[in-house]
Amino acid sequence: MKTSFFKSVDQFFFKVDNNLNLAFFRIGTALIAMFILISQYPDLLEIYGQYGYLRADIVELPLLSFQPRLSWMTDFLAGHGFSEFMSLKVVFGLYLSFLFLLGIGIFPTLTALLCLFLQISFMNSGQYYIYGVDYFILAGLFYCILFPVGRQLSLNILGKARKKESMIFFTRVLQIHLCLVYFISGFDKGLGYDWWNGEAIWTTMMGLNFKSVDVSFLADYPFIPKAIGWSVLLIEIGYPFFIFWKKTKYVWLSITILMHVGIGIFLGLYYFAAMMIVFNMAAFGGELLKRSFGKGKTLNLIKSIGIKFFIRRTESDKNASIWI
Amino acid sequence: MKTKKILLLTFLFFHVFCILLTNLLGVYPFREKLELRKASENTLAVLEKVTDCFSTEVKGLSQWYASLVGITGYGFFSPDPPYSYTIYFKLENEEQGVSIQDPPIFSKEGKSRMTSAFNQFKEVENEDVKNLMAQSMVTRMHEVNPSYSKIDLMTMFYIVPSMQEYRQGERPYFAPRETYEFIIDPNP
Repeated sequence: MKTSFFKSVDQFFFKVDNNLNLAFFRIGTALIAMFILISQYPDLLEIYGQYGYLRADIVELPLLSFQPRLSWMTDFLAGHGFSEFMSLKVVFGLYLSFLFLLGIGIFPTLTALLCLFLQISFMNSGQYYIYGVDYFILAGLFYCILFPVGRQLSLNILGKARKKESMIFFTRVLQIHLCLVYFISGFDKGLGYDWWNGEAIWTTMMGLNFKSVDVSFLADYPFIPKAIGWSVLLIEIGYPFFIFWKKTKYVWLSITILMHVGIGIFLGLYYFAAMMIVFNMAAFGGELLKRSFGKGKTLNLIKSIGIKFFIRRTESDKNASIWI
Repeated sequence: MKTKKILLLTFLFFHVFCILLTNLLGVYPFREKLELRKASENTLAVLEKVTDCFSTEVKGLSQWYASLVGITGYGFFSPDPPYSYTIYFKLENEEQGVSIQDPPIFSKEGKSRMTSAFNQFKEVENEDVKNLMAQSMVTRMHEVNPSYSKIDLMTMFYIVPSMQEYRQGERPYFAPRETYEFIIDPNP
């Protein structure tokens, strides 16, 4: 009995897996962080500048002396003749480059560490401007340091005969993390009245900040927001139970992803939605990813694209000769 | 190999403990501000007793670790989503009259982040810090619009009536909250 318990624990946490999902997680995190960074570029000075909308000395007031911040780097560059905007651009460019290297898998642990440092610096220097997605990017980068995320779909392994497999433990950490996130979030929502009577959905969608679609007609059909509110509670509180049950795993994964697509469309929180989808797919969509991009499939896909391209070129060459 | 597995499981235990402790603690500030269901208050009282078992140092360590990897990021919508809170600027001078303006932000992502900044401003309890922040925002507005001699920072809630009130004809409206007035010295 005892032995079988330890065996099942061992099997659950430490069986060998190809961990393609971790590579997907690395690429997804890096890509979304890059998009977020680029989308902030027009307002770089307003948000992170020394004399931005909220001055750096006020924003950095509550920081402890050891907490990383952008002014460490911009002040250093200013000492070498860089203007403030130029030095912010340099830090921005560095972060973007490290994220790109992480995405393609060049020294993933080191680049993830550097990205984490810069992400913390950006978050500390813009601490009044951060929201949920920043915390998930931070967690994603932290996991990229600890997990073997560079063993698949990575330029780091080109030319080297490195072991591609590793323990499933790391995927389990991601899974447990997500279960906690959803359960606690659902639990918190359930404490009040508004998620039960539909007013939460109504207030959020009619609010000034997230209003991307006119939903005032919902007032005449209160059962719709009520049903959505109850569904959100069910999805989130039920997540740890139904996602681990084989029969409901993919149903729960699909409705959770649909919920995030809804958040992206109706609340305009695209990056937050995308990051949650990456987390969900990496944690529980490993089998789906393997089926789509598993051993040899990516290569076959590239080859088939290559052949199609070749055929198209020869056809266009033929056409070209006809026209000539 | 066995030691490695034990170490990994210890890490997992610590990780889960920190996330749980920090995020379950995280619900408490809402208690005083929002109306909670009776059953929720009882549940929270039990949880409070559980979390009280841990020393301040353990809570501090857990919060520090969770700030790196374990903040759920959903707090804004729980337990009940708050009303939108926004900031506008009223710029005045004799020639141009009065103009109401948004902060000078261009990108959609920047605007989303500005919303977070407004909400954070609302939560600041220290009046001195709040005044400093208001001064900083107004200074930036003056840099962008140097011809104005008076700039007011106005904070307001955007109140959305309940679905029932909406059906009865009530409509969303702005409810002014605080105003910070600044007169620009023409000869600084």
